[in-house]
Amino acid sequence: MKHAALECTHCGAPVTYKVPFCPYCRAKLAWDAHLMLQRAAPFAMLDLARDPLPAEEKRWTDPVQRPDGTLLVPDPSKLHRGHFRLQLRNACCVVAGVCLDPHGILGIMARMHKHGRSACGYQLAVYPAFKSFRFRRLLWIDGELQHVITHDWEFAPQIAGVGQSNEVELRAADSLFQILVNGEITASIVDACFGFGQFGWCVASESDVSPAQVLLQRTGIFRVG
Amino acid sequence: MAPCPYCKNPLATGLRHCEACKLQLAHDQNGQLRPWFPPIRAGELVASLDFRRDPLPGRKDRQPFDYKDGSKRRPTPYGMELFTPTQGHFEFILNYLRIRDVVVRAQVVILSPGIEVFVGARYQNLDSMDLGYRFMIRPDRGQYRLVRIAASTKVGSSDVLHGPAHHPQVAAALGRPIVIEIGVQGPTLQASIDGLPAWSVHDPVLGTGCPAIGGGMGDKGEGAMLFQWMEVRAVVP
Repeated sequence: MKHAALECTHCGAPVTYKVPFCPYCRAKLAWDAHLMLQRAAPFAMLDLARDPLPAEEKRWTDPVQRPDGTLLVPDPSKLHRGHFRLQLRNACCVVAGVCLDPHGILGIMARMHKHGRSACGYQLAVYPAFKSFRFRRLLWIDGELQHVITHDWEFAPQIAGVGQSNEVELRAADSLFQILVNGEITASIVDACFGFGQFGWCVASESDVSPAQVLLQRTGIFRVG
Repeated sequence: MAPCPYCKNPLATGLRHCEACKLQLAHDQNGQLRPWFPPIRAGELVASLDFRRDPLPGRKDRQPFDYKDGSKRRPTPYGMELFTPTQGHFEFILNYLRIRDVVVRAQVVILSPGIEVFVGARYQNLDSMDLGYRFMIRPDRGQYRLVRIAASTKVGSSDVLHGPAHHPQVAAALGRPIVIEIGVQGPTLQASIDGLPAWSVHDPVLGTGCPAIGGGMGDKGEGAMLFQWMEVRAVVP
């Protein structure tokens, strides 16, 4: 198999992860036990000290652009997110930023798909105060949020603490997700629930009473090579 | 560069599929690129329910049951009958069987005009909300449609992937048994009626979930339907 691209070796058609045969040419497929996804050519790369944030889904506070990035102040217990316009199935999304408050969270939204009054997708959240991360599925209907946790908060030593820069990366190819923080692979997750949509960034405040300051430095979206 | 027929992203030159949504393309007789859907073939039997003796999916018994809105579920010698006095749909989900590529088929009898029945695939539950694909038929209008639904206990929204389209088998189905089938394989969905493929669409949004059946009134009024059997099959090359 061409591992990263998830293409059939026989006919080159796109195939889903771990399927026993190609649906197009019906050739049998063999899969390695481990598959490492790679970051490839960029679709978009933004320096947030200079470029505007990708379209925000909801604007609770105005972002402040500074020489070191874009400062966001999400309200207590609120998720603040925005997406690149491009809708994709396989992609690698990178967000680099600094949580300036202990209750600040930054992360990545993946495969956000809206239809009618509902939206669904994945969220990767990194909580620098506890050096931990979480991956979950989200579904909004009429603004009401429900979620299912795919990978609950877990400590990862490579996550930098409060006031330090973290580069969070999510590589998605079909049902395979790989999470990298500061260049080190942190988790590999298989989840086939949502397959297509927009990728982007998110920041949040875990506190019930006070907003959090999160400085986003850069973000980008790449092909999976 | 031509846009992808599904996601409208530009298609890369020389590639036979859309890089963004993975829609496979092939040239037609006029040299135009068209979506190419692989045929979905049903194989090994994974689960089978005969509603003359088995409960509906997600239910533990075949006992008569009265819902709060006046709907009734009644076992009969021919299957499980569902009577509903109001608009709305019931869904019965085979919760223990989470499967990606699958063919779900069921035999149903629609006993009243206005009733819609469906077979579903890739049903997912997020707390009190459901997502999934439905292949629905409505015999009094002779129509079928393929939809992706998102519903909570309060509201629902659906994205029509194909239809409503007319089908002669559906138009003749009022009061007689009809076999409806949905096949999902990767991002391809295929609907069949009485064993013959009716339509295929590409939708990569939902990747896995549970099989389901269901039905209800499409309009105001009352009606009944009879579920006879359901089977879930794996897909084969």
